[in-house]
Amino acid sequence: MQSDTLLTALRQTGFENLSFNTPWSARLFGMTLAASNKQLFTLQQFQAALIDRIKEQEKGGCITTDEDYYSCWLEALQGLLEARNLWQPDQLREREAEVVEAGEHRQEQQRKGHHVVQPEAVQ
Amino acid sequence: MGHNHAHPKKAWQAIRTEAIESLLNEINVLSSDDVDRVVRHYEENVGPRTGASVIARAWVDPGFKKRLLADGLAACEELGIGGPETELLHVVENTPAVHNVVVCTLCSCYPWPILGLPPAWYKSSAYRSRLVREPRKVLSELGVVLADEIEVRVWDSVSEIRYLVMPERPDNTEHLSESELIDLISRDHMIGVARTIELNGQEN
Repeated sequence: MQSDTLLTALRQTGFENLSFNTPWSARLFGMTLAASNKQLFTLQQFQAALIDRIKEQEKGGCITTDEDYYSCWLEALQGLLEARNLWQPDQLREREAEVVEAGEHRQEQQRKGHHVVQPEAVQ
Repeated sequence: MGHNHAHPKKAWQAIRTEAIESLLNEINVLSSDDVDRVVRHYEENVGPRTGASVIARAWVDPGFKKRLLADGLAACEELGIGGPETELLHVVENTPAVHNVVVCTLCSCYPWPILGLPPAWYKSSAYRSRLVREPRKVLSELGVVLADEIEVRVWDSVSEIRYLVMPERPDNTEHLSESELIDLISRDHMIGVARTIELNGQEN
């Protein structure tokens, strides 16, 4: 690790903003706090899960970006929710495939120059 | 790389996050409105200015300062500031002889309701691992060069305790209003990775 310059570099990478760097990290953060408000878990439980995940991640490398960090956050949240058996094991994989498919469909529409339309509006 | 106007593939994190939110919606555990409310609150209402207002109040009101140092969370509640994410807030005061700096070595605990979202470097392995080991060196890399006689105190946000650094009030600011004082205080002062407070545009 180029530790002598790393911190300085990190401060210059444009990650100084006080908002979220990606839409997914904002949703993730919001989901976690909202789920905790609904008492699906406590923030202490989440913190413990995040610490475990970060420890695991740092066995293989460093966390240098927001993306690294929120990836750990995502896996910690996923683990806590799955521990509550809120969905069947295959359901998340299937839903991910649907998300990908919907995204590809939107891109295809945009590529063809079509506006995005609601399916029910299509004749 | 060829340019074919193709959109970049969605990141796996974006796909999984959307899938989880969709499932939580479907089983009526969490609505997208619940998530929206949290995100909007943190993006629009919460930020380091909240923490700066706490510090500025302490600078102008000795009674508040005493209460803040005794029980940070209770004092913040007097100003209508707080949130479920902070259990205990310990405010640590810089003096001419002491400089305080905050880290979370295990993850990235941070007083969200007081300072908003932590910057990326605060969450990095480098900051978290090095600050405790070599605080003076890290601080100097961040532009805070401390004389040898100044003691450095590193506070590790473990368990439910969050820390907030109270920087020293600069000299010759008696004429400034509380809101002008707020403008002088940055997030970095309250983490402890900045020490000197600049009086922008001030004669003194």
